[in-house]
Amino acid sequence: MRGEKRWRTVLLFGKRKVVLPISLLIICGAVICSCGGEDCVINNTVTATMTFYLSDGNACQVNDTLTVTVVRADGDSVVLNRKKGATGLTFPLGYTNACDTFIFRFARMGVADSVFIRHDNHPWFISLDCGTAMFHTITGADCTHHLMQSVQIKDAEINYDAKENVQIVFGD
Amino acid sequence: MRRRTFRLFLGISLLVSLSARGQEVSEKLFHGVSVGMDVFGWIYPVFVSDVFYNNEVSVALNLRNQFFPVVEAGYGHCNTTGELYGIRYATAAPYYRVGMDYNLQYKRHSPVGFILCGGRLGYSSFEYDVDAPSLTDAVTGVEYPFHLRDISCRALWGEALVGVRTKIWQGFSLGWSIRYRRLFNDCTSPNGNPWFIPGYGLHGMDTFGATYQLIWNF
Repeated sequence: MRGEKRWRTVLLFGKRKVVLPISLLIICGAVICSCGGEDCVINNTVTATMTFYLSDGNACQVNDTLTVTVVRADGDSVVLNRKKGATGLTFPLGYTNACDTFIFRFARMGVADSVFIRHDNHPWFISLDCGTAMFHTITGADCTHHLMQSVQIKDAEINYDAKENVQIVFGD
Repeated sequence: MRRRTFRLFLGISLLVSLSARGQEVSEKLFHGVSVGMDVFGWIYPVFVSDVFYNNEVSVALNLRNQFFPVVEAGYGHCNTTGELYGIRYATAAPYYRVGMDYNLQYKRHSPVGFILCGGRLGYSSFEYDVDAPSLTDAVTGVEYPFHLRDISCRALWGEALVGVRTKIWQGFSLGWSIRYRRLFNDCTSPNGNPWFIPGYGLHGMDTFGATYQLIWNF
């Protein structure tokens, strides 16, 4: 009978002395479990990465002063300003438009090429503690052919993962 | 995560070893039906946090005082606005679990209660809304309003649990359980992951939960 009472105390919380501490323990445990930390990205601007290649497949740098401007209906903006020896660039895509036009101006050679990147936009909910972002999926890419030979999509998904999204191949 | 899983299995092993001493097993197959209500789901929003909570009931069969096939059904709620970014997340949907409890002391029958372990398979099909401050285009400064409506998700998860059940008065029992939960499908939509899943908790590959049930055996 005494053993039975002890069981009842332990299992059932039948004695008042243990009801509160054990209940608190369970509630605290549940609260701790529900407070799992989450790692947030510090800079939440999503950018695409573009790198330069030669037609033989080797990475290259532009031996010129390069300025890249993004052209949109609501205004132009410089994303790379007079950069020497550029091997690539990172750039944000538009949130509301389906195609971004980038004009590459090569100062010494006095020529310019345009790159057209078509994309879908996905408003992205991360969490209450980490905020929101705009992710993109590249659906197509083209370019003019003064110095550029082609544009290739390496990874169409543009999100927080640092990776090469687009390759620009220059002619010989 | 591995450490937590290890602790859980260590705990189950200890309980199994404690229950190893035996006397006799019941010959009768069917010992009755029990209906339970999770009291924790009602206490939690009142005393801890009303950011999210689940209310559920369960029905279980008692087979040989050893196996307890169980069905749990409930309703999960979440309607909250985060303080940091001012993001509002809202969902309310039913969820279901099926599984089995195992009486670790069936060989050493006690009229008072017993320790149990068990497993569950949980499912919830739900939709959620997210409202957040507008996103600003980094190049042009144009603002994009952020409102997600009726994003659907079908979540499937598994649970491993340990708990106790004790008679309190006539056909009534109390029981609590600690549950390790693991999500089987990530439920990722083109607009991200849900923040809260009814019946599961906060989105993440694994989490812990607890139930505290009032049970009527008949």
